[in-house]
Amino acid sequence: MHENLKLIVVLGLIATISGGVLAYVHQTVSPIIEANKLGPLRDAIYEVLPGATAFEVNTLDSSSGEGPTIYQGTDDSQEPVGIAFVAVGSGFGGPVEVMVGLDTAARTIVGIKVLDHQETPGLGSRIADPPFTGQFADKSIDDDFIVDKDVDMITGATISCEAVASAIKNTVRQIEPVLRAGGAW
Amino acid sequence: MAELALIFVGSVLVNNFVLVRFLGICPFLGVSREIDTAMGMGMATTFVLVLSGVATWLLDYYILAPFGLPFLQNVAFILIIASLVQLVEMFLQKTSPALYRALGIFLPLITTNCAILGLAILTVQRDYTLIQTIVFALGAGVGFTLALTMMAGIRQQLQFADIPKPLEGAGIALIIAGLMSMAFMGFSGMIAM
Amino acid sequence: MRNLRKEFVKGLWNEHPIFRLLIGMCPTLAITTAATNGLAMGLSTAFVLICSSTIISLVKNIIPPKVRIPCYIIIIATFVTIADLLLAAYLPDLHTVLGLFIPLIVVNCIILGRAEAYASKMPVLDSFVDALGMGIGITWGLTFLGGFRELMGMGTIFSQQILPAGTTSWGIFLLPPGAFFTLGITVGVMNQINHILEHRRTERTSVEPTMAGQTAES
Repeated sequence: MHENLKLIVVLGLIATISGGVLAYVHQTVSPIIEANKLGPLRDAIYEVLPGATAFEVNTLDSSSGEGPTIYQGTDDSQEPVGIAFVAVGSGFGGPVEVMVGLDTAARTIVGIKVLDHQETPGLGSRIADPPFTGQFADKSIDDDFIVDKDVDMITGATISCEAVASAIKNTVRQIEPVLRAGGAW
Repeated sequence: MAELALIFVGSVLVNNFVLVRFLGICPFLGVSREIDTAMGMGMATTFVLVLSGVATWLLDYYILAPFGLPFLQNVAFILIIASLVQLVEMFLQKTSPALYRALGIFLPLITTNCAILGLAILTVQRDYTLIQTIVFALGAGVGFTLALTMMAGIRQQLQFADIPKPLEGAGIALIIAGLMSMAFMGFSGMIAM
Repeated sequence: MRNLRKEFVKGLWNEHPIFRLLIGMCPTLAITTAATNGLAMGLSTAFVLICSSTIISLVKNIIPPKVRIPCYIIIIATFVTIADLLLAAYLPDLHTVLGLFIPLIVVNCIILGRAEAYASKMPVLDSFVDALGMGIGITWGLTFLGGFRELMGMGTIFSQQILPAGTTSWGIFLLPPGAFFTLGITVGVMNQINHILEHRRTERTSVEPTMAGQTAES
């Protein structure tokens, strides 16, 4: 009995110390981790909406409930410069996440940035590089986004390119009616 | 239903735990000399994968997440897995000596198989439901067994091959694994997840 | 003192955890797509190994043998979580790349293996030195593999262009098969080097026994 008691006490003691230490470390660094999570998102928004110096999360109550979060970008004088949102397409290796900046008045894309992908290195991974992403700037959103016709393709990476093009197209088509209904377009 | 099928096929072939995700490499290299032992190891691992997948899911859903303790995830999961493996071993020893003889020797090795803890963490990251977790664990186990058995089959044939001396053992096993991994790459893109 | 040096050196080559003992294979194969990733993973593993070996050696006398494994696991998992949180806070980019394989340091057989085979029996200083040697061994191993795959796959090492720009890069080295090939061939080359070294040593012993005695000491 005494032996078993010792087992429980030692194990309990170690577990308690461990929990305490972890709680302390977690509490110390969690504000930094939270800030880090926002960092890349914020940088991406400013990258696809040049001129924006602030943004607010648009909390439109869309009846469908589905769809991406809309970030409304504003410049120094609080004038709206456009909206940004994350579009997700299915690529060759998994989901492809693209941050898209839109000029709602001109109905054109301002810029895009690939946030995350698992495409083949050297082939599909080139969708994240400027030669590919750059071509979307100033593209009209009424375009058909057909790869190899409206969108220049990367040789050997058809599916990855299609993932980006269709993600943008589908998401724009999805959010426009919702935003119009809410008066934010 | 279609989604569950996708998860299953995805974890068996497209993202095979061993050959694409690199989880469970130690037993893959260590216990792949004979087809029989490879099958035994595969089945024991599948069994524990499903059990621990369920156990860690319940732990996360009912204790860690509601109380805001995600930073204890690692400690809690590994303890659950270690105790579970121990329990399975004791249970099998008492109730089913035949099964214990078949799987028993593999069980202690399974605690430190990264596939088990890896699966537990992946299911939490992906917000899988309990059903999805079970299917995912089953797929992971089948994929593991498949890779292990294929490897064992090839290595049995290799006993009669003339292998360069420095590559004997681990070296040639790794190169074969590379070739198998290339073959499995053919499945990538098959399923858009 | 000489004994400590031997404990330190063995992890660097003769008992190299990755290339000689072939343990901890999962992170070795998975994250060595670039030299930076290998270095970061190596240092994280070394951190956990050194801390947990030292602590386990310190408390080995109060832990009842029956529950020693659970106790070791808790200690190791605690340090892994600390490493995980610190990386997430201060090196978020690397934390994203290494991802799943940071928490999986817990089940890296190197760490529990050293705890069970070494730290639970030896004095604190010895355990520390042993872990330090093994940690450095893991770090150079992972950095080497990462550097090689990065060089072949992208022509760079630590993101610095090494091969002339325009050289065809072999993307396969960045993919899973490349990991297996690189490690398999490295293990083969290490075996061959050891074979040659051993051959020389035996030759020298038979011809000049005094010389051999000196080399062993130096």
